Amino acid sequence: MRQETINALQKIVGENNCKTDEAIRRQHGYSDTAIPDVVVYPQNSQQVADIVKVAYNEGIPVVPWGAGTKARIGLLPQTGGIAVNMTGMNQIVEYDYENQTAYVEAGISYKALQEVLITHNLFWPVEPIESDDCTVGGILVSNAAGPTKLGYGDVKHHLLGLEMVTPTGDIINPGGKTVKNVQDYDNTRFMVGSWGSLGIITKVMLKLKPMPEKETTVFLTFNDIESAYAAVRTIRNETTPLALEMMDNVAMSVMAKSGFNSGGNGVGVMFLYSGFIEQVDVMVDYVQKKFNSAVVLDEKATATAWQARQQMFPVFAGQRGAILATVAVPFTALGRFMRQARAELDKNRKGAAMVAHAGNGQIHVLLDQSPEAYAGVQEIVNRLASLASDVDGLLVVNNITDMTLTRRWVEGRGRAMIDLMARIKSGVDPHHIMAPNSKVLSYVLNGTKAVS
Amino acid sequence: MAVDYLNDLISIVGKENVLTSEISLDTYKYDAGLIYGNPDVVVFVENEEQIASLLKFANSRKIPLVPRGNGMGLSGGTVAQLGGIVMVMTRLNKILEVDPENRVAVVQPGVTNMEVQKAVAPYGLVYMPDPASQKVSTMGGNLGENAGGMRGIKYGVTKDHIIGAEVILTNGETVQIGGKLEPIAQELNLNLLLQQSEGTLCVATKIYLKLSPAPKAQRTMLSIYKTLEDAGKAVSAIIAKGIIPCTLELMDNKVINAVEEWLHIGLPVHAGAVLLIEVDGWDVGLDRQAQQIVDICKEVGALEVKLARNEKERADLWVARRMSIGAMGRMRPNYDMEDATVPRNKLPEIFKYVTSLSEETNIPIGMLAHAGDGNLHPLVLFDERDEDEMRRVQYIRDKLFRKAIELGGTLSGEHGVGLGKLEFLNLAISKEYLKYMRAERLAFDPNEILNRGKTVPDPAA
Repeated sequence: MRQETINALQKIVGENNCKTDEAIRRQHGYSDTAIPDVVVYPQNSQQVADIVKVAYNEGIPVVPWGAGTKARIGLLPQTGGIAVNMTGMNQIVEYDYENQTAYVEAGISYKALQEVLITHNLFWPVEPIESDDCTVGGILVSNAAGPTKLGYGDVKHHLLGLEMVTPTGDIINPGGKTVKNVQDYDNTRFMVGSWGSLGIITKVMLKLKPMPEKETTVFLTFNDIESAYAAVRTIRNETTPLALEMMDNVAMSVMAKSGFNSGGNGVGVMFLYSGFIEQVDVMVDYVQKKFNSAVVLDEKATATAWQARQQMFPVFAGQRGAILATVAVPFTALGRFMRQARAELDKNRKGAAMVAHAGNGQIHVLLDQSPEAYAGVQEIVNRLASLASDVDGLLVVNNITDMTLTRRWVEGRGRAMIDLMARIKSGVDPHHIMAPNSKVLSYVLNGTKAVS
Repeated sequence: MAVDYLNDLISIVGKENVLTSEISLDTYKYDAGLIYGNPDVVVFVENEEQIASLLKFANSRKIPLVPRGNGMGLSGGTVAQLGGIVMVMTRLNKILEVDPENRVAVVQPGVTNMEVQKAVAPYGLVYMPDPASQKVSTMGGNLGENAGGMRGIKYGVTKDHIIGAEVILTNGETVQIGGKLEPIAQELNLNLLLQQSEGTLCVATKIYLKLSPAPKAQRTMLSIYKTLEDAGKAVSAIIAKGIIPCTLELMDNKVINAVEEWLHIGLPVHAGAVLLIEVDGWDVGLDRQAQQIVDICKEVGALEVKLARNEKERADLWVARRMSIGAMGRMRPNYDMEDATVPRNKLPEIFKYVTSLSEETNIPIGMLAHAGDGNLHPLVLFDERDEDEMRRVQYIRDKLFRKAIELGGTLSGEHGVGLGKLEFLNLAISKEYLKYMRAERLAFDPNEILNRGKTVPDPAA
């Protein structure tokens, strides 16, 4: 990158907030070699807009960055360009507890946010599986969610408006503060899962919820996937759980490493009821009558169990690393898929674990192989993908750079799909500078390789 | 206007499906609001192939085209103000699939909201959004406008319950956006952009709906207030207690009297306003929730709170709410139902303001509101043949929208921008944001054939 460009960035954010030393660039990188040329730490929206304008004029890639917890899931390695670290914008602009909204800067951490919200008995009902450091902006653009999305819905259901900087450096305000609002295209939600490719989110208007009166977690253990899935069906169809998770026997052993012991070997079903006291109690009673082995977890066990669930991937991956694949199937096909997939894994990948947001028909397959050695599991991944496709489902691999399966899936829904997405990208980002390494558009665009 | 392309249209859909008589064009020149515009030709389509061909043809000739359901919109969204083609979608009226255990229905766009409700009810399921127009309005229209309804506060609106669509682009190509599965693929979620796009991006031919288990029980209450402002204050107080009712609807004195005069339900005709409140869920615990609401209402100044004791009483309360627009419509030759929103705790302030506008202009305004959502529906009554009245109505609109925006609200909560709100758009949308949305619009529809001049208009045109 030219020194003049770095000078211009320094002028915008100040020398202290414009870093070129290698250690910091590496923190915002993807590998030993794929690192940005410069990392800037804007302190307000105007600075973000000015940074983007510089990049726009010079055609330099700009990648917004939060805590970096999911970078390798959603971004491809890229060399050069500007990383915009948003964690300097971490203030709550307005906490309007009467209207149950909070207007926050995108770089605020999840933990810092919830700590303030709870002071008025409210919370933001999004529970990312990532660490507490992850930022609101990062949660939004990565569409992060956790087990409670079954009951609460995902990020898009808990947003009312945004302030964002467009790829041409304008500051715009999609959405607003009211829960009903149809005066614009719903760009507030459209940014969810866009991985920075359509602009940089600078502020977010969050829709909040009152804390539930009561929450109770129940645990069941079964000998096999088939009987566990039968229970999952009963629970989902006859009660209204907020979360409904299913862990195969390998996943259960990973949870045991984190200190959660269910008291039995086999396939685990963990579910959560939340809401008014009487309604939680009546549902717990109901499942206890249906399943006499149901264990209602006490406070300590509940915390341990959900913590172990949250830590599933990092604990499984350990030092070696692991490949994460995600499968979506119709709920009715979940049992069949998991049974067949487990049988397939048992043949030559016994160490692989499966954990499902069962109520949503979504399964994570954790493969004991480092992402760099993807070739070693490609065959089994393909077999699982075809099992998913047999039941009208889909498998994608999250933390690798090969986008073949995704592109095939997108194209399969209409040959015009790729062109349409390319036109949207080019329309809002004519110089293709915004996060050109985002996976969501990487397979759509040609000739946008990052330059430095 | 004489149309030189009738034969092209006839070759696509057949002669019997191309209407050009004066009476036909008149019939399709308005929606449920007050904006008029004659199309040059009305075309009925029956299947995807015809729609694709028609779009491709219109696109090649750059002819404006307006897709239309049953015309229940309230912002001129289906009015052909530039002439061109109105494409009527109501013959695509099949429910293609109800998949109860996966809780998905797939429908054609001409199916009405009520038909969906009827089809899924036997499975103990509901499609949550229930706009007041549900007996007539189509799912294509519901999608395009992001229709609201009476239980948005707890269950959300259309965009929270549509999970995908098969759409045809103006170049005639079909793509499937979203669908039954969780959206796990690494791609832009275009489904989110389709919602409330007011028919300016593409034409949906199949819509994927998320279904929900029907709540097992309800408790319904009528909370009665001396003044409209008192009722407004109660709304925030209830929500602040951590109870989210499924319904929190407001009717003011004028609306109450209009309904009572017509239907004789026994509503409190001397009340300044009432709130219709409903909680739902599992039966147990509902009595306590209802009692908590009763207590809060009384605490913040309700004169009386009546709990519906049986299904008949509950049904009566709902009839009152559902018939209130019709009842108000009987009072003067015309009404204009506005659709601004404000943050909930600003309701008392905007109610006061609307009352003062009514007094200032001597135009009667009844107040109806999806109060829990901060969504106002002031019903402005007038006679459109009276020019002076029309000027005062226009004055009210102008003042109302400015006030709503000033209070942190919006121009529209559920009716859309269409043509009706264009004159106020610059109050709410910056030119930079309009530029961004136009880039999105042109990516889908580069020649702007779909609903040209609406929603995200070309500022230069």
